[in-house]
This record gives sequence, structure tokens and C-alpha cells, in this order.
Amino acid sequence: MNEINLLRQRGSEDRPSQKLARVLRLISIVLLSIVGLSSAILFFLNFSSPLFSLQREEATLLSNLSAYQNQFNKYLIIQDRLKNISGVLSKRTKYNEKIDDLLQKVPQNVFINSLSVDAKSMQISVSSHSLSAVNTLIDNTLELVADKKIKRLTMNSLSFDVGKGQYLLSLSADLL
Amino acid sequence: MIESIFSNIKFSFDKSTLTILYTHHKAYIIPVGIVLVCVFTFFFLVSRQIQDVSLTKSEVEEAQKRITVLKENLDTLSKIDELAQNLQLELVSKTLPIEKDFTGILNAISQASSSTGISVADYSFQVGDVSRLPTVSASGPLILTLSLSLQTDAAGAARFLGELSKTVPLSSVGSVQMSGSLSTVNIGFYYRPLSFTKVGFHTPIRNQSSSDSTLLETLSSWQTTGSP
Repeated sequence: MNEINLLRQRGSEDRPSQKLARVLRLISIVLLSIVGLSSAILFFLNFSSPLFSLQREEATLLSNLSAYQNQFNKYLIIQDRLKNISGVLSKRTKYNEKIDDLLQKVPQNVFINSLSVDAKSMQISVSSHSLSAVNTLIDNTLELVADKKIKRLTMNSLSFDVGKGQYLLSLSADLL
Repeated sequence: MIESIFSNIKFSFDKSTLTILYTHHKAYIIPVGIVLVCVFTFFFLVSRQIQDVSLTKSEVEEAQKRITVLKENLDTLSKIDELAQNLQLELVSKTLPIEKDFTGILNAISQASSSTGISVADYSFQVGDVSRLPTVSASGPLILTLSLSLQTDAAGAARFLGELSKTVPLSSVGSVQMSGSLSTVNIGFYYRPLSFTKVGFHTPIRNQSSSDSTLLETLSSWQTTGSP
């Protein structure tokens, strides 16, 4: 006589679903461990950061420095003034030296009628009874070009005043 | 027909149904729930913690740099000789005043005139708008222009300008015109209003450089020469 089991055998039908459940459980445990462990590590890293102690140290230093506020302000003013003074001095044209350089080239028997100097150019108008002296002045002034004290020398005019018996010369120079 | 079938179907989710469903699918619901919570936690909380850690690291580095600067500043400031600093402040303030220093300018002209023996014929200031307060410029100092007539020839004008360049307030010549025995010079006298920009202790300060010391010595020698 064959025996027929009418009861459902436990496990035979649910086996795939049990397997799925086990896999899900394993995944959840692994994920939970990862998240828990990483959270703990990150919390420890944040907690052990020296930021708070550094911030306290910074506050203490600022508090100590506040006693020197007056000296600090004076220091800033002095530095600002020195920077600006140095800037002006480095850019300042020494007109007295430029005029002196030119005057040294003027022979004694040549009279300066007018002289004009600005940042870029220099004009000089002279008169002399001697043409040779005028020529010496031109030659001497050309030395300034050779010495690179002036960039270019232009002779604007050379004329002779019959009434006064004087040679009149006008020169202009481009300054470096 | 179909509408009538659906209208007859009734869903009932009472407490007992939910309990049965939960009991029956408990093995799946709990792990799936945990996985979802873990994923949510990872992406919304752990990722923020990671950002916090990297942010904290950079903040620590910046704080360390700031502290280094503050310590150096404290060291430099504590070593400053207050008396010497006051003298330096006075020196640079006379050289580059905070406002148009008419008295200082006239003293400088008078000093250059007396040391060279050249008499000043007349002078005129180009003051400009006096109703508005001058504003400080980052690019450099401001200039008060003065036109000065000197009763001298070119050589005398050169001597006068040489002497004036060693006086305070700081000046620079714009142009020189000489005709006969009268010379006219345009001179700019510098001044610089105080800057009210907030500068904190975190700005690194340094000990005076050798060029600064040399400049201060030069300015000091000008004032010594110029003092009556």
C-alpha cells in the first residue's frame, strides 16, 4: 500500500526563498558592519582632531597680541610710509644732476639765455661771440649722448645776430 | 463589465492583515530594511562625515599657519623698542605727511633758500578742491604742486633743487624753466592720508629690512641737516 503524505514537507518548497533570505541577511550584516565601522572611525578622526585646541591657542595668542595694538598700528603706518617714500625716491628725477651735467659742458664764453627741463626733454638756448665756443658746446653736449645721459640731441637752430655780433644756438635733448 | 468586477474587489489592510504579512515575510523585510537604512546612512551621513574629516584637516592646516604667523607677530611686536618706533613714526610722518603740510613746505623752501643763498621771488600753491577730504590711494601718495620763482641762474637753480631734494616733506621736481636770472620750478610735495583699511594681527609682519633701515637713516640725516 502506497503511503501518501498530504502534509507539505517543511523546507522542500521554501528552500529558494530561504536561500534568498539568508543572502539578504548576510548583505544586511555586512552593510551594517561597514557603516558602523566607518562611522566609528570617522567619529574618532573628527573627535581626535587638534582643531579645537588650535582654536583655543589662536584665541589666546590674539588676546596676548591685543596688548600690542598700539605698536602694531604704528608699525603698519611706518611700513606704509616707508614703502611710498621708497617708491617716490626710486622714481624721482634728479633735475639738479641733469642741469649740472649740461652746465659742465658749457664753455665759459657761452652765455645761457634760457633753459627748460621737464621729465622727458631739455631745451637750451645759448649765445656767444665765438663760433668756436658754440661748436665746442655742441661737441661737449654730444658726449652726454655717448655717456648715455641723454638719448638724442637735436640742434633746433643756429643763427647770427648781426646787431649784437652774437651766435645764437638752440638745442633740445630727449632725456633717458 | 471590467469596471463592475473591479468595483466589487475590496482591499482590507487592518492590523491583523499587516501582522500576518509581516510574520510571513519577516525573513525578507528586516534585512531589506537594514540594507535600506545602511544605504541611506552611508550616502547621507557617512559621506558628510568624510567631508567633515577632510574639511577639518584643511582647517587644522590653516589654523596652524595662522598660529605660526601670530606667534611670529607676537615675537616681533614684543621686541619693538617703543621709543625708537615713535621716533621713526615722527620721521616718516614729517617726510610723508598725512595731509597738505603747508608749514613744512615753506620751511623746506626756506631751508633750501638759506643754505644755498638763493632768494625766492614768489610762489603759488595749486591746492585744488579743499572742500573734500582727500582719499587715500593704493597706488601711491598724493601731490600738492607748487610753482616757485627763484632769482638765480641755471646753476643756482640746480643747487637749490639739490638742497630741496634733501628736505622734508618729500618732493619731486616737475619742470624747470630758466630765463636770464630768473628760474621757475614746478615742485610736487607729497602727502598721504591715513588708510583706514582694517588690518588684523593675522597679517604677517617682519623685522625691519636693511633697506628700510638705510632709508630711515637717510631721512634722519635730512632732518638733522634741516633742523635749525
